[in-house]
Amino acid sequence: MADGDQQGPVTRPDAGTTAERVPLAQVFLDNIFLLLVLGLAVPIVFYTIWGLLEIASIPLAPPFELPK
Amino acid sequence: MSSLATFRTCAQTGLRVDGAAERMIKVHAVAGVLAILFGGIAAVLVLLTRWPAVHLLGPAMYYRALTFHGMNMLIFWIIFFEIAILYFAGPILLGSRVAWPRVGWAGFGLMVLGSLLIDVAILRGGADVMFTSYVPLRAVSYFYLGWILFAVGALIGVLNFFATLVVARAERTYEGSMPLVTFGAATAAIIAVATLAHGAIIYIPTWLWSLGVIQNLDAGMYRLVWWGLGHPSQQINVTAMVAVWYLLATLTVGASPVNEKVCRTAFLLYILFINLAAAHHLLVDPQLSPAWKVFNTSYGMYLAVLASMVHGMTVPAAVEVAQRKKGLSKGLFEWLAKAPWGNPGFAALVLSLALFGFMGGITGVTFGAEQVNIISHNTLRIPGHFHSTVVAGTTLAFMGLTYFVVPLIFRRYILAPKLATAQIYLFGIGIAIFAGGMTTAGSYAIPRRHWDVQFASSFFQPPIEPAAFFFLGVMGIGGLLAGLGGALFVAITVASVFFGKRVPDVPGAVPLAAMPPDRGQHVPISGTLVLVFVFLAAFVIYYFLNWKWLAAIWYVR
Amino acid sequence: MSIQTLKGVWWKKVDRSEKLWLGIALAWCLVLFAMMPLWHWKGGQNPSFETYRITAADYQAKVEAYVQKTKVGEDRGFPVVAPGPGEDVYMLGRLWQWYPVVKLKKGETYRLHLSSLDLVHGFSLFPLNLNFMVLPGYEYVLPITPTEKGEVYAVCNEFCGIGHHQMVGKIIVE
Repeated sequence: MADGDQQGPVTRPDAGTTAERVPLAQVFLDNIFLLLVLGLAVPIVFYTIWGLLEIASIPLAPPFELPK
Repeated sequence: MSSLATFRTCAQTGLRVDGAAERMIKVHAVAGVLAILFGGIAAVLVLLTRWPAVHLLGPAMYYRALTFHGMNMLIFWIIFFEIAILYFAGPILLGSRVAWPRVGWAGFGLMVLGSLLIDVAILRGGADVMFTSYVPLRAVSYFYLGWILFAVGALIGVLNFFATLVVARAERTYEGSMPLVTFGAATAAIIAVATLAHGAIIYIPTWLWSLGVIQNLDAGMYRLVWWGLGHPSQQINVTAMVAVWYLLATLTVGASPVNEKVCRTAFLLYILFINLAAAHHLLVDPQLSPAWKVFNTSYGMYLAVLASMVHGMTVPAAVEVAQRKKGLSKGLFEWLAKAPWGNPGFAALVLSLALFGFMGGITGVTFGAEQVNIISHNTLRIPGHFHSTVVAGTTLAFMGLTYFVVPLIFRRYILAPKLATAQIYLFGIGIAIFAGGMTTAGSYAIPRRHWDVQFASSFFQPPIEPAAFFFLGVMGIGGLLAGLGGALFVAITVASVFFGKRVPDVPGAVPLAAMPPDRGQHVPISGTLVLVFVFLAAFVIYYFLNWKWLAAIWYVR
Repeated sequence: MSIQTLKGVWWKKVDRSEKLWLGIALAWCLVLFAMMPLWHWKGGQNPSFETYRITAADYQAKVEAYVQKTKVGEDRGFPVVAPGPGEDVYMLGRLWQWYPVVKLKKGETYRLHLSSLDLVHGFSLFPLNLNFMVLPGYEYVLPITPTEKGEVYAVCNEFCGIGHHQMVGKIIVE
């Protein structure tokens, strides 16, 4: 499938000219560690912390009144 | 740590392969296949018990076998295999040494030890608590310790992957951006960190509670945090499966992603939003608000579902473009009709994609709507859904990939290639029938995790629709077909690793698809567009049918 | 290909046919999202969020007092209670039964209180297919309105030990 004499990972030769400025979006997506931080922060805030806060705020049952 | 990495150059792919990476792939793959064997035996026992006509096991053994099945499949089989994928997508695709080879062994060792502790605890009757181990159900302490060790071991494997990314960059083993498959694997690794962090947050206190050190663990809090482990652990599967789709498309038809920006942005949406939908396990729980439920179950306004729908288009599109470039361009579907259906990797790709999308994805999003969950939660609709995603989707894709791992990493030819192809179809079709039967039975309110659907020993005997029994029978037949397919998978791979002819170290010894000629022409994806619109139509119909069924039950308002 | 590293810029324009699908898929996702708030506003079935913390002992005392006051008969050894329209009715789940049996009237609304005295249970009205979770330490209030006459059964659908499959209760709608 690839050139047998080329060692290492195969690089696609026509993936754009290297002289172009790399768009910010591409730089962002290439930064795995930034993505790791975001990928932890978003669920921990919206799922875990928000959820725990709601559970912590559940009120106590009011005093019980029998039906008349 | 070790700068004495020994490399070989793969004659088939030209890739520079660190021996340490290969060893890690091998041991994790072997552990995974052992787990699927154990889980598969338990699966057949559970199946033959839930099929009322057979009702094989007694209650205690059924609940035990079900716990064993869940742990070995949902956690051991799939996570061992995923760590193997990370050792491929990181070091090997980037031509780098493994960052911490000895630490990698420590991680593997912990995973093995943890899984043994858990399996022994279950088999000895000390952990009849299901895969979810909901507090206050209590297991023996070493069951929870097993979870902690397994999670730490897996986390080590994941961190080794990230460290390898750093090493590869620093040592300039590649230029430019990492390949799409590596990026997909990195997405899975990020999700894995979130998973394992929640695992630590919940299992450390639960273990201490089982030891009597902590007195009370709130059941509502446990469910919230546990599902922060339980659901993302399955989203690692979705992401790894999608990365494997791109890999199989490349290996079987020489496909390239049509637009990297689209595919990678879709993975970004997974990174940001896919874990939120752990909330769909809590939609009918008392302790959380509708606002929390609606926002989280929607994966943040369904943006992660959008990502899946994107991959569901870009993967077939890549295949279509590659095939059309080879000249298979007649009409809407010649590219598909003349595709290598006899190649087990291609068969796995197509079946996994179609079944995950049509059966798993549609039911998942539908049952995950806050209110539709009222007519779904804890019925057989739920395991019907997740067998369509984790088994027909992820496991089938991983099986297809294994038929490349054996010749490329273990360097043995598959012993019975036609049987391997038949195995993929048998398993895929079997699981589809199984899941279809199960999901439909669930719509008659048949409960999951339940030993006696005829309620023979209960105070009251609800009458059961005869149709429900019919679908349980369909489930039984499909499950047996799938069980046979699973057994064949284990037999073929194990036999090939030990007795397969050795693959000679010459280029072309393993047939891998070549990249098709590119004359810069614009290639249409009209066939793919038809397929995705058919998918959308099925989605719309099933989705609104469920709201109609919801409207027919009692009011809750 | 998907296993090749990429040199240069790959952040490129999207093809028209891909854009078409992206747009339609996004629109469908927004429909999916909108359905949920819409149903809260206009629909008849929505998970409630009236929840209180309570100990098992206190909840059990509540239910017993309620049963004493409102009992109208017996069924298979279980007391049968019959709340009036708009009233509160209390059920508990425990290993391995739902208690008491409840008698309701079609078309009337009741405030059904649910809690567990021990483990997590699943309250599943069979064969309607109405499912909610019942947790120890939490009192969940569901405003329900039965829409058909007949008998429905409260099946437990959350694993709760060796007697889990025996756990069935009853609601009669007249």
